[in-house]
Amino acid sequence: MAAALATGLLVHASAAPPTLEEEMLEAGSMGRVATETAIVRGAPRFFAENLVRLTAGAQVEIVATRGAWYQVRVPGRKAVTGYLHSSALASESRYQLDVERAGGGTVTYAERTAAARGFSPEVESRHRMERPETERGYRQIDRLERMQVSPEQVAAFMRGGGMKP
Amino acid sequence: MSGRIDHGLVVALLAALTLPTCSSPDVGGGILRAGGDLASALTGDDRFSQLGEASARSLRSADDFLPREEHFIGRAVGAAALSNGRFALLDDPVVSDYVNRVGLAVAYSSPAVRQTFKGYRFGVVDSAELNAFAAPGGFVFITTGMLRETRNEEELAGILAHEIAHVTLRHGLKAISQSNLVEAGGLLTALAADHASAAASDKLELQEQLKNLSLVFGQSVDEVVFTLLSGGYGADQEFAADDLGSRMAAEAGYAKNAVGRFLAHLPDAADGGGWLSTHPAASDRVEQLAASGAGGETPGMELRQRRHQTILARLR
Repeated sequence: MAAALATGLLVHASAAPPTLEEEMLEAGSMGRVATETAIVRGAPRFFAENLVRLTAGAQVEIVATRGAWYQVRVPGRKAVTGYLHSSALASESRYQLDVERAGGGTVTYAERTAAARGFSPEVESRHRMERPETERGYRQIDRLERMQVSPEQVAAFMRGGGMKP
Repeated sequence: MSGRIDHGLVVALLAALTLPTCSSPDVGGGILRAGGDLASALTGDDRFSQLGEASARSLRSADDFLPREEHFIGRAVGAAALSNGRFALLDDPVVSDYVNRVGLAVAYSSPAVRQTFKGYRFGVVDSAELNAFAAPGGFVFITTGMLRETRNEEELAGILAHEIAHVTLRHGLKAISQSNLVEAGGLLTALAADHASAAASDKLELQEQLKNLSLVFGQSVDEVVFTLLSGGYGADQEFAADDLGSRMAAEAGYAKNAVGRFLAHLPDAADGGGWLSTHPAASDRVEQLAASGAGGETPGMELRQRRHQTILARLR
């Protein structure tokens, strides 16, 4: 993809294809939130109204595609319809182990997450034990992660600089 | 390396398993409620099933890492970069806040920016070196040396957007070798089997697998760190990040070709070290960037220039 971007986009910059050549989910299919949190917005923009915040693994139905965004329906007693950026969602199958469905079974999200857990805090802990010299760096990464700037604060910053968020 | 697992054995092991009904306790799958009367938390699909047969998890390319996995790789890459004695975060919240807001203005404005597990963070590194780099997962760093060389907010935004583009295009993850991907994929499948097993009988086996996974993890992190700080990306990746980053910055409202102008103004750019030594020749990039659009004045540039100068004054 990088090569395609390097050649294709540089030559035809004005007719650039959508940047994210990621798997796009079809209308009617279900997707799972793949980021830690994802905010469903009232319009396909990060600065649009905040409708509901979802956490990793939440299931949504794809209603339609709007560029790099999906219109989604969040199921529940009071269903919400709004927009999620496509890169915050993964298909059900990405959350499943590569399974031959012998026996009519499926592997659920919980099980898939057990696999993902392998590349998570447990491994980080071991890695840090093996490399105590990186502790100083990890403390700084933690500090960096604690920095929270909301889209609303960024929008105010942009307006202060004469930009239109 | 030691600990290479036998995938055939894993398949045999999985074939014998019946999975439990419990869902993972640390998995969200819920609504945190952002206003309004909403349904109770959604949960992951708890229906259990019998796992008939499984093969090793597919980790064929960098694209197969889920955001959560990318995040932990990025944390380790960032930690390694901040532990080598070359870099440490600047202790000035005013400068850090400013750089974060500029970076996030790009990250929140462009639909081309790939969302990462915890979003983008921008760290200012106290170093005279001319450098900027990004770890997977969205940890972007810029040195004070580089920051001082920027002449306006447009140039800073352009540099940060270039780094966001590297993350979006998964260039850091692509530095991980195929052998480590295959190794990690196999181990993750084995771990899933053990986690899913109601018996989880062989704790020693699990510990051994975790140990092996952390070895692969460490090797993968080393590959990314080397590429970011020493080896550099391929020229095609740099041109792609220049082009995509330039478009991202423009979508936020910044002047389009600011990185080109930044590179062009640097004296004797090719000998600058850091960002320049690990990148293609500055003159080639200036030419490519100019070809993608001239840029120029954008509304509010003076306002932004003023606040940029205030920040730079703190670094003197």
